[in-house]
Amino acid sequence: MNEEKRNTAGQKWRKAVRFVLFWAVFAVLLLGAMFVLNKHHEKELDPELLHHGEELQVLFSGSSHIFNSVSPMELWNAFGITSYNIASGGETMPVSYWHLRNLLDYTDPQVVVLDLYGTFFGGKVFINGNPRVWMNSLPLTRNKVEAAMDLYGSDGIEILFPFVYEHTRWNDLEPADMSPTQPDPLRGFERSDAVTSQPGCLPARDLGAGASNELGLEYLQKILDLCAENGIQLVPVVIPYRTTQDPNVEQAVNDALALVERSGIEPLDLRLYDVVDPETDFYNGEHLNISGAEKVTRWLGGWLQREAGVEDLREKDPALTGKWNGQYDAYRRLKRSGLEESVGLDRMLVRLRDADYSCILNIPPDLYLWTDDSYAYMRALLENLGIELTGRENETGLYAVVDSRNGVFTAQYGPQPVQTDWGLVEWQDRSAGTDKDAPLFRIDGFDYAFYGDYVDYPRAASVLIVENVTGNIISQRIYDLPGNF
Amino acid sequence: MLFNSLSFLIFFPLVCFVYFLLPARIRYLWLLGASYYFYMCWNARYALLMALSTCITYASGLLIGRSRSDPRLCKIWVGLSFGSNLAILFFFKYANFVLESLQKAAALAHIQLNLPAFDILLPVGISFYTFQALSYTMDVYRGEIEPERNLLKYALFVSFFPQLVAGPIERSKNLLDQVAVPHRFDYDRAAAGLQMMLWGFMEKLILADRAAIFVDAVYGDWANQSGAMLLLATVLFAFQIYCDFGGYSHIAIGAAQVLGIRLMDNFRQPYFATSVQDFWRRWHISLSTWFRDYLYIPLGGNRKGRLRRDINLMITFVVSGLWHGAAWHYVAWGGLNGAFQVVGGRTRALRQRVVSALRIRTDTVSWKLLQRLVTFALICLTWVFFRADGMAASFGILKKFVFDLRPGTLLGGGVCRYGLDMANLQLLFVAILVLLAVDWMHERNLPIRDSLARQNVLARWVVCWAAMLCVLVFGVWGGEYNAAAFIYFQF
Repeated sequence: MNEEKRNTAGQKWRKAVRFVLFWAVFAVLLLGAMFVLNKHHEKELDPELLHHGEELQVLFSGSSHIFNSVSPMELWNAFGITSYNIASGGETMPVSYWHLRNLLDYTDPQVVVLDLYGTFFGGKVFINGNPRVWMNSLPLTRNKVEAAMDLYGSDGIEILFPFVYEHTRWNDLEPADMSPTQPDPLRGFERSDAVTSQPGCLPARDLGAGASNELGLEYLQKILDLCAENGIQLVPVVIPYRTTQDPNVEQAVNDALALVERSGIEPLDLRLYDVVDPETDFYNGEHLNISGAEKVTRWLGGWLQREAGVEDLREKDPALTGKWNGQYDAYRRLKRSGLEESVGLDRMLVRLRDADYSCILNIPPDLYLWTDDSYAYMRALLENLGIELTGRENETGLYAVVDSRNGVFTAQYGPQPVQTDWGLVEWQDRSAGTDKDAPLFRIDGFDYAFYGDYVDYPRAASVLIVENVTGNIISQRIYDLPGNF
Repeated sequence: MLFNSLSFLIFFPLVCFVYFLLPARIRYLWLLGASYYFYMCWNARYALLMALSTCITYASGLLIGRSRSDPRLCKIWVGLSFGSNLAILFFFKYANFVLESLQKAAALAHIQLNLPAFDILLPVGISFYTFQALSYTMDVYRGEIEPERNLLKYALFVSFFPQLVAGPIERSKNLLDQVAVPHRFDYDRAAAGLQMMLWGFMEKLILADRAAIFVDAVYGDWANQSGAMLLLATVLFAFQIYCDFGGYSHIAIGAAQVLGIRLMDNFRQPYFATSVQDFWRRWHISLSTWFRDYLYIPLGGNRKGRLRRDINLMITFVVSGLWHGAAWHYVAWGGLNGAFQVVGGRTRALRQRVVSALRIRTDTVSWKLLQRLVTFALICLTWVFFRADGMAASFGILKKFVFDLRPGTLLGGGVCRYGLDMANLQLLFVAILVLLAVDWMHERNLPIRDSLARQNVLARWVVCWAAMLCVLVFGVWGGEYNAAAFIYFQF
């Protein structure tokens, strides 16, 4: 009888162990499936942010306005400030609040720069917003659970488990899904080289009363409180955007400005400081392109150092400096490949608004570029690089060296030879026509820019790109522009 | 609460866990509460309707029991039970249908009738629990069981949650005793039940809901589709409805098994049927036997001559069609099934003479396959009426099968324009093959579960893990989809 009882007890124990083992192994298999099916390579939280967040002095938060406007890598290169751009598209104030609150588990910034445009977006999660992108990257913590529940209500349970959405990716898997998430070389910044010229389009602050977004303001107040509790200096900003003629947008932004002012914080309304040029610096009227971002980044970097006391870490921490310089090199390589791939002179000129790249230009006369109103924006882009147009380019052409080192854009002009730090620059003077057998440039005796039959050479505009850090000419580009031929 | 929802995945383990922890005497009360909670997740008010039906049939059972000496009085109690329950069912399910049909009929005779239209929400599962409750009344009347005196136990019989909203329609002889008896936890029984549920989820989430995407897209725009595409959609619908309903039944049976309760099988490899009559011995067995026992046989069955048998068959299947839905195309579906059986019965002798004259061997695999394919084709024909959204659509689709086939529309990626890409279509095809393979094994009396049970534990586990991962990865569920309700919930 005792033996029977022992056998029964033994069987029960064996079954219990088997039960636990079965589900434990299944859990491991499921985690493996979840890892494979999770879309790793989409823009999501950088592992750097989660594992080295304590290095960061500044976080940039808010909507796409700010992630198109501020480059943490450029901020490091110019000012030695460590930062990350945690903004996301269509990010409402509730999402900004939870985003920041969750990331404060991993970071300890001195300053948070918050874009106020998100106050306009209605609801907790805006139709264009996708907080799942950053939420999916976070480990399951109390803050993440609270964020999911607050933003999504009862659907928050599914949000906490992205597998619920991503299990359908079984037939969309890519090689990148099998490898861990890579650090984002742009640190949250998104670049565009497109340009939509809309001179005189920056908004007025008063378009009449619109609807207030009380929910947005409520969460803005929570952000103010959160930063105060954590000893963080909050810098609310308004990044310039094209006027929408929508009083609700202006109402929301004005309400946000008023709220932060009532809290004793002075916001930075960049629309008032003439930082960007609407002719050259927007890629779609709402968001800044690379040129606009260069200007805003430089402006904010200077402000942060002067007014917020954010230190330049390059002399203080050699190990950190070595690491960030290495990451900047990777970022520079990314920019270089972008230069190689860009199409169109206008986009190239946008990309060349960059302290890493100087350029040498040879643009012939008799082009619509010099005379047509439809090309006014392209002339503005040339002026954006520090070039002063004389108005006679249609007769003479344009021969210029643009030096962008240290973020100061200065130009020297041909067609007479010019001595530069990269050598003696000589141009082919095309005011009387183009000699197809002669190069368009000669630098210290080396010839550049010969043409084959595919280019109608009288119209060809050429750009040599110089990488400032090496002094090497890394690319020559040729653009076929329409003209009076 | 749907079986394929997160709330059920929380509800069910909790119910089981508490059930086995509670003292034996009150376990059924816990199940009763859980069953009513389950139903009230759909609509709390309609739980009162179910309670009303429960009370009426409970009372009728007691009254019949007390009136055994007076057969006339017994019949009155049966009549009242049936009358009141069917009246409730009629009101909620058929009132608007009847009124609309009367108006249309009057319009044909150029008479204008202004009849009211009721804004009625059909209570989920009303057809199922009503029939289950009525079967109890008949079983008591026939003396097959004694009346249940414990109202709460009887209420659990009517409302037992695994089979409440879509069957199997249980008989009181089978279920009433089981729910009254407390069951001990049995590991092997629970494991078998969970495996059954897993198979049900595979049928529902991998096959049925995937096929539904294609079928809905094609049938939703049938007028602009080719006959070939509609034919493909009809074949896929045949598997969709089988796996949707079969899947639900398997989940219900498995869930009940975990709790120690054995429900009847509801499907027995229906697409391996060799005739329409055989099909109805394999499809929705609980309903077809209900109609056999409580309508066909009381009408006389096949005991009153061939003509009367055929009439009884037609009545039974027309009523069955009507049970499935308050619309003429459901009636047509039922009628067509009945007609096939009538014609099949009438021509059996002739067909046997032809087969004999042609010296066709009927004991061969090829002959069986031919019979199955012909039966499947006939059943698919009836599914057109079931799936289409009306008589006009049904006939329009059939016309397209004949006059607008255009088989070329199936080629060149044409099939990928209906919500499923090629990978998903291939997965669907594989799932159908797996289903047929499993059914074939069951048809050969080689139940796959028994086969699995004979393997060593690691092999069994690997199969279970693979099945669970398949459901989670390939299943149609999650944020991209709304949990697709089971088809038979509308009945």
